[in-house]
Amino acid sequence: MELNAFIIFFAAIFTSNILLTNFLGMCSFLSVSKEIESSIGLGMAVTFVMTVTSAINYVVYHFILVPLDIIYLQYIIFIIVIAAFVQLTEMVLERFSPLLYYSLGIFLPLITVNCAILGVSLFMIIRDYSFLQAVAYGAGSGLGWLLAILILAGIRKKIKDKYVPTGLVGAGLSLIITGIMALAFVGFSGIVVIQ
Amino acid sequence: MILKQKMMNKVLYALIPIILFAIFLYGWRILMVIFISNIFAFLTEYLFIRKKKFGKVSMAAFVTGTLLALTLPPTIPFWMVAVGSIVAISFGKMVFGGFGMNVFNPAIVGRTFIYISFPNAMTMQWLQPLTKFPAGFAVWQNTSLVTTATPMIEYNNSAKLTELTQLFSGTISGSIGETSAILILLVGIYLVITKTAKWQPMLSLLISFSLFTSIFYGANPLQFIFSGGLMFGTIFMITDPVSMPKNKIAIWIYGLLVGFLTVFIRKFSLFTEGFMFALLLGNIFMPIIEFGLNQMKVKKSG
Repeated sequence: MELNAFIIFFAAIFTSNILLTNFLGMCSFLSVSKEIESSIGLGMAVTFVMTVTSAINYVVYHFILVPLDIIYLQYIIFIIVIAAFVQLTEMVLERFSPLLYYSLGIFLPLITVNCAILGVSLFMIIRDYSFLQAVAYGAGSGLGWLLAILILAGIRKKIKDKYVPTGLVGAGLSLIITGIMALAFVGFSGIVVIQ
Repeated sequence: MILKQKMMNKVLYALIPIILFAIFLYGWRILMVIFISNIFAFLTEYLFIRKKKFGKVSMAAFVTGTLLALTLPPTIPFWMVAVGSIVAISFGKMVFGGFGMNVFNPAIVGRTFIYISFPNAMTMQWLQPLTKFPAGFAVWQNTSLVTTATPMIEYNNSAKLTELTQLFSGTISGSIGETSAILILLVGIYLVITKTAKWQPMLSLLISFSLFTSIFYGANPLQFIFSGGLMFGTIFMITDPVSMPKNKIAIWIYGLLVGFLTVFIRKFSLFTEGFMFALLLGNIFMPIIEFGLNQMKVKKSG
């Protein structure tokens, strides 16, 4: 509880990056990273949804689930909250920014089942964060996810796929690159510890 | 069977004095380490390209093998050398399509892999170098396991810096090829003069490293530059022409970024030596930064 919210924010981006240390949210990470523009869009959408849902879920958990003594329902409730919020975001986006809406296409509804978002909500409960810490953790994890997908998109842009061994084209090579990225991020470990 | 590459040959020639000096310090076992690393580098690359038309093993495989071997501690078990070499060539280079296509520096990928997998063998045992002639030329392996740590570890433990003269001559414990600053500097000058390596990344790296060392440590950066693997990395690792960005401004940013990250990791993280991670991080961040730079250029001109 004594951790500064800013430290948690920083750690969630670099030392405990939700994607590179917990390997959550891999599916959209692998499929959207082909294009840099759409990966930025999805990354920002994930950051937004993560920040807001971690706040909502915090309130729901501590002011509804705990008083009613139905903590065992947390998985279902969290998923419902996330799904409802993504639906809402979708409608707002469609109304105000149709361009982003169509470029994201199927991936926007897919955020609902992005395990990183449920993961963040569950981690903040397990680690017993305060409200401010939970929001900082959500925002930091979202930005960390955005950073990771941006890096992968940049690297995939640089690689010329035609020389890659046939069996590795696409997801195979992306997974190997993600592994090497995770290796490099180990270098940050020990700067701040939140786990 | 082997593709000839003049540039890579020059790098290999340049490494000969460093290898000889390493044998002088630690004994003939060093040569075996380098030999094993190269053999496995060759075999791995051969397995990948054997079915391709005109498939030839590039000279660069031997450069990667030798560089990897020189960054390992002298007590490293042979099988770990082989693992590092196989990972370096296969995951660092061949999965991207072979020579010229790799995004990361293969030798650094290999070293990081074994560093994280076998931290004890990579960081705990160092040898006290032999100094009296014929020193290592007369023995198979220098057996004087040290209690004194490498300059970097010693600084982390007791904030005591090693004397500059010792750092220059290389009679300190450390990885196989990284100890003698003066030898590495001379080789670096040779590489720059023969246009084998670019000077821009070296200079930008050293500038940013000195700057951030003075900021974070508040000390004269000279001794920090010559401690640990920084000099070796500056001359041989960051100058790898394939994993380096192509754009001129991007090369400067690359050097500055790696320099900053090296100091940052040395100062704040768990690890005493930051250059390896810093370079790998530089490699993964650069493609997107370079893309951003190009976008900015397009916008300006259009």
